[in-house]
Formats: sequence, C-alpha cells, structure tokens
Amino acid sequence: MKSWLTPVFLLAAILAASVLNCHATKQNVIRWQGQLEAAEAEAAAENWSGAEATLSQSYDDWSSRQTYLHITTEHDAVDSADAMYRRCAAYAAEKEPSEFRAELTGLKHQLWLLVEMERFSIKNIL
Amino acid sequence: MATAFLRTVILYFLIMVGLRLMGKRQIGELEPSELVLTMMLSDLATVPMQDFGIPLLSGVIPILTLLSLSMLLSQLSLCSIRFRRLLCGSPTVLIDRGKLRQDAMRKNRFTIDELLEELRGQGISNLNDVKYAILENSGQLSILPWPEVQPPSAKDLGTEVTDSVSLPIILINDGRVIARNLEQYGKSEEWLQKQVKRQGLASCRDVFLLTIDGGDKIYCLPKEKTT
Repeated sequence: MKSWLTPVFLLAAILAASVLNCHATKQNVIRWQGQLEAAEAEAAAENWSGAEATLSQSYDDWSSRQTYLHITTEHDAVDSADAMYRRCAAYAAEKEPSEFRAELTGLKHQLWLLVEMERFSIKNIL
Repeated sequence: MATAFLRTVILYFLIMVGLRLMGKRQIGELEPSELVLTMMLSDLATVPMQDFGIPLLSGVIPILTLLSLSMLLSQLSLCSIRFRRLLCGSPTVLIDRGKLRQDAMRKNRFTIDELLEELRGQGISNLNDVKYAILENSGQLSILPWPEVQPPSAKDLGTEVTDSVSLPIILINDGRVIARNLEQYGKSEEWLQKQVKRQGLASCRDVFLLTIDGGDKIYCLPKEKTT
C-alpha cells in the first residue's frame, strides 16, 4: 500500500465520522423535539398525566444517548439540557402551564444548540 | 481523578506514537512545519487533560488530523521537489565565496551580530576565513571555511592511512545477550561465554556492555557491583 494512503484514509475517516456524528445528532434532536412538542400539546389540552408520561419517555430516550453525547459534545451543553428536562418534568408534575411552556421552549432551543455545535457552517468554522 | 489519570495516559501514548511517526529528528533540527506541529500537538493534548468539561475526542481528533496532515505533506514533499521547497523553504547562502550577501541577510532577518556569534560558536573569529555560510531550513548555519584555513586531511598531506574504523556491534547489553547481533556476526553463544570467561567474568549477566568490531576486537565493560 502506498504510504500516502494511510494519512488520506485517516483524514477521510475523521471527516466521515464528523459528518455522521452531525447527522446522528440532528436525527436525535429532531426526534426529541417531536416528543417535546407532543408533551406540549398534551399540556395545552390540560392532559397533564399524558404530558408527564410523554416527557418521561422522551427523557428515557434522551438518557439512553448520554454516553454518546458525552463522548462527542461539550459536557456543559448536555448537562444543561438534562437539567432542563428535569425542570420540565417538575413543572408538569406541579401542573404549571406557563413555567412548563417556557422551560420546554428553552429545552428545545438547548437541544437545537447541540445540532448547531456539530454543524458544518461558516458560522461555526469561523 | 480517575478521568485525569486515564485521559493523561491515553493522550501521552497518542502523542508518543505521533512523535514517533514524525521521525527521528531532534527538536533542534525540526523544519518549520514540524516545529509548528510539535507545539500544536503539545498544546492540544493539555486541554482535554485538564478540562473535563470537554470530551476527550475534541483533543484526539485535532491531534489525529494534524498527524495525518503532517504525514501526508511529508509524503507529498518526498514526491515533489517544488512542493518540498514550498513547505520547508530552501537554504540561503549568506556568504558566497567570501562575499557577504547583505540582501539575503535582510531577507532572512539575520543580523550581523547573529552571524558573528554563529561563526565564533564554530571556532571562526574572522569573517575573511569563511568561503560559504549557508542558512539551513532548520535555522542552523553551515559554515565552509576557505581551504587554506581548514586543517589538512591525510589526503591533503599525501599520507596513506589504513581503514581501521568499523562499526562496533553490541553483543551484550546490560547482561542481556543480543542474539540477533550474535547470529549476524556468525558467532555462537558458546563462543560468547568463552569471551566473557576470558575477561574474568562468570557469566553474561555480569557484563554491562560487550561489543565487537570488524577487526574482532572486543570491548568489555563489567557490571558495577550494587551495594
């Protein structure tokens, strides 16, 4: 094998892994945001038990990706989102619609930040 | 604590492998691109070692990327002379046939004081003694004096010399027999044992260093007794 192929292969592998990571993060975040919107709709319909259950399912899904997220993303961003998930659950349990909605909006934005951080964009690169 | 320990171990080995891949050159002989790479690697490694808030990958990926780029550029510079010149630059002649090239010195921001310092460092006190002075890519100055101020060689003196220089081969290193070298030299372990006994030592374990040169001349250094 030509010796220049090794670094080219390694660079290509790193680039491919970065692209795949960006794609995987985006897919995960879109799914979590969908779950959060479903919880929000249930809360708007005053179905708080349904909102709690949907939020709990979303949190379980989120928790199952924690190791991957901690390996690939800044821990502060992941920990912030985790804390927001817990606060949302607390507001849902207390049936506080305005706080719940505000926290949920913040959580959706925080999750989208995870995608933004991994995205190939001029804004991120520069 | 455990995170710091494990991250340090991983990054240490990664950097060691990386520097090993860079080749055998010493820090003082690094090309500009290699010097930049070395500094960047050391800096990159320390960040995830100390800051546990960022993933280890954010240190590992830039390190791997830099090493890959460095290897790729090295390979490309082997293939193309023009690319090598672009990457590493080319040596500059500062003194050409005894004439100081001030334009070249200005271009390389090399002061006359630095030039004189380098000359003194190489045992030359007079600028007139220098025929060529070349500023190498590594930043070192190579000096070639005029023939009349160089010490005469055996060839200059017309003296016949016998070639007595040969590369010594290590047969015992710190009590351990280097079997590959022994085999390469066409000698057996029994022969080696005899040589060790002849030196007044009981076994190979008592030898710190034993070498043999092309003229079958043996050099033996016994191990010091530890108290």
